[in-house]
Amino acid sequence: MRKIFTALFVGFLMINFGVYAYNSFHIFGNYDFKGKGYLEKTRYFIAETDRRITDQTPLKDNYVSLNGLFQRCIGKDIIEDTDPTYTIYKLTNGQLSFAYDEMDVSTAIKNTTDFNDFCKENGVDFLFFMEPYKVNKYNNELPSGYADGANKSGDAFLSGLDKSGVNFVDYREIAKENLTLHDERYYKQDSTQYGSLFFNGDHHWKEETAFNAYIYLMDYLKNKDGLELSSDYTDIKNFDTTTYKDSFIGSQYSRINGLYADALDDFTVIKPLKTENTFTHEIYNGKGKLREDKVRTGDFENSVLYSENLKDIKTARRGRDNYYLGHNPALDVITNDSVPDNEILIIEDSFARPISALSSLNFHKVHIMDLRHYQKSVKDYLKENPQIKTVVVCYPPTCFKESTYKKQFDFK
Amino acid sequence: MLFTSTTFLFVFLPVTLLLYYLLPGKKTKNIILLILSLIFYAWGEPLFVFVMLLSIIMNWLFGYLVGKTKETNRSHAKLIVGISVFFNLIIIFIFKYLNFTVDNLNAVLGTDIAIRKIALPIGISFFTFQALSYVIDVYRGHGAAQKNPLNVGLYISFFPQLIAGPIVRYETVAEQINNREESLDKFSEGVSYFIRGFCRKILLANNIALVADRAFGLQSTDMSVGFAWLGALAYTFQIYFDFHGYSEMAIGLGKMFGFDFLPNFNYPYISTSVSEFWRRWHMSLGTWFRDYVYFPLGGSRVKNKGRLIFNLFVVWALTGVWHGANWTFICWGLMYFVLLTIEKLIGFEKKANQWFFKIFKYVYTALFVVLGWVIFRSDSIGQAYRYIKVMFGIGKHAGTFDYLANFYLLEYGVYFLLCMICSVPVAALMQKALIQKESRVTDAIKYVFYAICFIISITFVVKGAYNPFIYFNF
Repeated sequence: MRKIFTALFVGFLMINFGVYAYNSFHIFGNYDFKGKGYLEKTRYFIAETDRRITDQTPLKDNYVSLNGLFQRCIGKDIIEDTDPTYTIYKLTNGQLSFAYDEMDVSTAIKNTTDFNDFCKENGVDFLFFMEPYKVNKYNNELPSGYADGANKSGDAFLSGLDKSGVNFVDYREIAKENLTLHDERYYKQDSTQYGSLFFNGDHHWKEETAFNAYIYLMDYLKNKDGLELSSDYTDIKNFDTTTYKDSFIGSQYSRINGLYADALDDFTVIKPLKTENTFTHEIYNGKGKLREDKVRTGDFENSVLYSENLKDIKTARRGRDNYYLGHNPALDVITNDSVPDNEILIIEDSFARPISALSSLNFHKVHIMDLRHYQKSVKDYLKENPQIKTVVVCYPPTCFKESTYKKQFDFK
Repeated sequence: MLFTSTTFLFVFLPVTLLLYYLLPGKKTKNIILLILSLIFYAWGEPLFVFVMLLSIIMNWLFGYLVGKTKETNRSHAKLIVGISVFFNLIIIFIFKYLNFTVDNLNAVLGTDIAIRKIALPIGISFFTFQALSYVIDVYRGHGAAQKNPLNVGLYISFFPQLIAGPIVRYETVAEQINNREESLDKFSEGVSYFIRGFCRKILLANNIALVADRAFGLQSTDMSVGFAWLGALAYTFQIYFDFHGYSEMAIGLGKMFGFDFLPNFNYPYISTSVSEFWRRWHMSLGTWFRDYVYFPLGGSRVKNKGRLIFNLFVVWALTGVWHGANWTFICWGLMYFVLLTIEKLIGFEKKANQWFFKIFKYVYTALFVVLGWVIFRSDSIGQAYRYIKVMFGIGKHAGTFDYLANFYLLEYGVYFLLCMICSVPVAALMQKALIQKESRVTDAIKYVFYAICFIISITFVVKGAYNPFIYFNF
């Protein structure tokens, strides 16, 4: 028996090695050694080879699924990641989420207040728009009584803004209302089921939820700041919706696969019915340099939407929600030729991509900035673009985490 | 390179096995093992392979000179041994202790001596101790000096025990370098060892580590008494299964290439005295200090108690320092010095061996071992002090049992249970009690169990789960 076992063990190692050897040209080709010294080259070769070997492990998805099954069998409600930021928590409603501890938000309050003052001095309207978080503030569904720190941090932050007189919207409170009951321009959602506002296998809100937030935000800016906005693009009637049933959406789901949780999702894309306008979507790098090869011009669908992310929607892949904007921008600028004058800067993370994309229907220019990636000064950017008269910072409470907090609130 | 990486498992190990068994002759096999061991080491940081090569060349030279002169000129040989000890210690001092020494001198003398931060070559403490063992064993006649530097290179850098031990003494493998025998039985035994170690490390150590990391990452004021104990216990299990797992993998890999290394652990957590704990924990380090430091100082056969206490102090201060350049390690070592001295002086092990006293002795040992690991794991003496205070409900803390304690107990309860079971020789006892003789059926059950555990462990490796390794930096 021992010998059979040994033979199986050696066979297992050799088969795996054989697969690597067979695919070696594909896996181990094209190392980029340019501009590196000998030592750097060696270090790069080692790190890159390690990465490629891990990425190309034969039957990798099956191993990940099997791991999920094992975790499910032993009743684990959290799946740890090498980066604790990405540790997955299975909510009591079966959805997957990230969770964070409560943290000191005083720097965020101070920086936001300072930035608000800067905007005021420069004649720019400022708004902080807090998006909802998958963990319900009023009904913590985190496993085994794990404390919901992110919403607490969010509350402390908004309370600080309130004391400093900074304009904000707590959309967490609004999202849980059934908006359609009051106004039929919203996408019809059953908000009493808080979880239904979010994907099962991804931490983001659904596109429908984001769409409603967009409508709310546009109305808010119209009423509060007196912005002149066309009503054509603030009514669901003027949008086309397509739902892809049982799709593989999630970044969380892809980390653990199907045997751990039933976390497939219906993915609904919402786009305007008619857009004869011409849009230009410019993508800049973190240093503010235009990437000319990435500029897209055309109607809304062919400039701002990236339908390639809907391909093979049932296969395991992250970033389906890149349908809007195509990526997490450092700095993107969308120009709508048929709208004159008004320009807005939206400082966001991945949650607000649908909002930013859809906002371009109403503004001449939407400047979209993600401070995790944009390395230059926001204040300088506003000085260089005095035509921007509105700044909206859109973050969910999950921005209050150690890994990104400092960057996201560095309005230098 | 880690044994628990896909690079090692699916590329390095198969290539090494193929080359080793396809190439003819022991000399060729040794050369290929040496080359691959150096690649294995360089995979962690290519620059440090030169430190390794320097150590190999110099210690080969010292060994060669000692071998040549020890019969004809004993004092000459002794001088060379002294030089080799100085050389090896200076290397380890520069890389491991220079920054620490300068920092402390600056703090005490109020000076501002600035030196560059020196990175620590992986496993330097292990291979330096092996190098010392080579020259001293040659001097003592416990093994012949190697004429071929490649053989010394293989002894010092052999990849299974290179970065985390066990510390293989030269006398253990002197003969095996040129005259070992590979067999299917030994290879199979090696596979079993490797898989057991692999599963211990991946399934138990890596998972329970998450509880420990969380606890030791908290401020003491944010920690409840319950969570402090949970974190301390988690680290107690983590360090055991981490290090024991790695040692078993090393022993298993050694067997696959025909080498026999001595075991490094023997269920240390069942000990009923601190002395017994140290006979069961990291045995290769304990015996190294015993044979190369404690005995040469006179051991316990000394005329007065003062000298005995001094000998123990030296050994345990060095044991602490060996683990790292931090006052936490020194304090941890000195804690054991105090406990072992008391045990030796009062004859603790021989006294009160009735079962009810044994329970007390077990609790006493476990308590100090756990407290020791808290000191060991803490970043500073201050952190250790605050952590231990919370464990006993002293000072400002987050109550007796908070949501974190509840959460981690529920989430990791299975792992705690498995760790407890695997810390005691329960499998061996069950086998003894239930099955008098191994049969094909019990054999089959055992190997199916191994296979399941191994595949589950692989899923963690491939998924890229948390994979720290504690002894890597010693």
